[in-house]
Amino acid sequence: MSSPRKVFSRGATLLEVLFASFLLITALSLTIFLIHHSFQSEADSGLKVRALHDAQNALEEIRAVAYADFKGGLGSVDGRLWPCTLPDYLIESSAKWQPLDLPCSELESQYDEGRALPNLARKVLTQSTWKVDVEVRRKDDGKPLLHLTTLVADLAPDTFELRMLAPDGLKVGPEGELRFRAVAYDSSNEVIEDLILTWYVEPINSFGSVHVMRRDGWECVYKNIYQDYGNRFATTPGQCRIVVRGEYKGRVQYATMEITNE
Amino acid sequence: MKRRGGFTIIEALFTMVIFSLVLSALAYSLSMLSRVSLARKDFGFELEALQLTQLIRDDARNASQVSASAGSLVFVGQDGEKSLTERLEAGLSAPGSMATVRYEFVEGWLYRTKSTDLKTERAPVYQLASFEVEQNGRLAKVKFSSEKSNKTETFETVVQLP
Repeated sequence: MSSPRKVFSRGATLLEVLFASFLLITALSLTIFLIHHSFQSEADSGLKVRALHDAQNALEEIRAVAYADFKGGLGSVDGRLWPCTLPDYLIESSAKWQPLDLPCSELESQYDEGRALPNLARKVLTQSTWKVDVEVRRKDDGKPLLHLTTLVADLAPDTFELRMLAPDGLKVGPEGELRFRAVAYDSSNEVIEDLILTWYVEPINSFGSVHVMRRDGWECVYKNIYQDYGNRFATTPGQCRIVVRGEYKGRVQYATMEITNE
Repeated sequence: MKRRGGFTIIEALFTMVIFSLVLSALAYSLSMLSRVSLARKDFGFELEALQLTQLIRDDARNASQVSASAGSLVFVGQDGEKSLTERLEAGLSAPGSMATVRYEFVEGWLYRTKSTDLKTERAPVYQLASFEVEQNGRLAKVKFSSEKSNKTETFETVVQLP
């Protein structure tokens, strides 16, 4: 039987060398994999930051187009390619009108049980906002690298004119009804679709009520009747004023008409 | 049969092949490490450029007037950095105080100077190799370059002006 000292002095066998090499290669491969993965993530992050910079440049230009021509500029932005500093990538924007829902002001709790609810359709602003998507993607396989979505509003200051029309005339008998319509024009004399309107009645020597207002606000029905302080319904011959208030890009305009209650 | 001591030629060759593989893997991993450190430096460029761009755009959005020349940008508008306490003391409906923000490129440094009625603060923002402003209508192209470890990176930023 040989002593331990004698065993060590024999040197490594091929099997031992192979096993040691296998362990070393495995450890090195794992290290390389981790380093490579970390490098790849780092490079991807750098690429995305660069792409973000370029995509934001495109968005700034789109905002400038919207400011210059909000109604007609949408077509020039939709499907347009923008400069990209990454050689293998391209930037494309797409734009469409984004409907904006205004909340319904009618509350179900305001109506007695069993009473028919009015049409609670929401008012939708259809020409106030663009939904803009900017995508950075590879030129060859179209694989997206970055996607930005934003809403662009019309921020250019503008004046507008609000007019009121009375198709049924301005004289009304007791408990009779009159229809009124509003129409608004912007500074280029084009009809404004997205306007927030409010109707109310101002007394002169008589009074009446806004009986029905269409949800989009463009039309209202006036009724020659009102509720007095004693909760009684009454009519009084005389004059009152129907007023419509319109708000557009932060500016407010009023239009009025004088009604004769018979 | 008694085994002879040491390696045979085939064993020695085989061991050399394995060791050369191990050494190649080691060299490859070292080269990867150097590339990672280079990539980290490049990433720094891009992040700094993005931060600078954001700073200029925030000042532009807050402003109501602008004046641009080749090496400077000046924004005039409401002081958006006024604290809530100061605003409450003045009254929320009180008109906001005006602030002027000036970007100037002086001796390799981009300075941001903010002046209000009460004080003026001037601070270096970034060390840059160049800084140029080109105005085209409501858009300004801000071109700047940064130099680090003998490498120059150039950026072009579009800013919508008030």
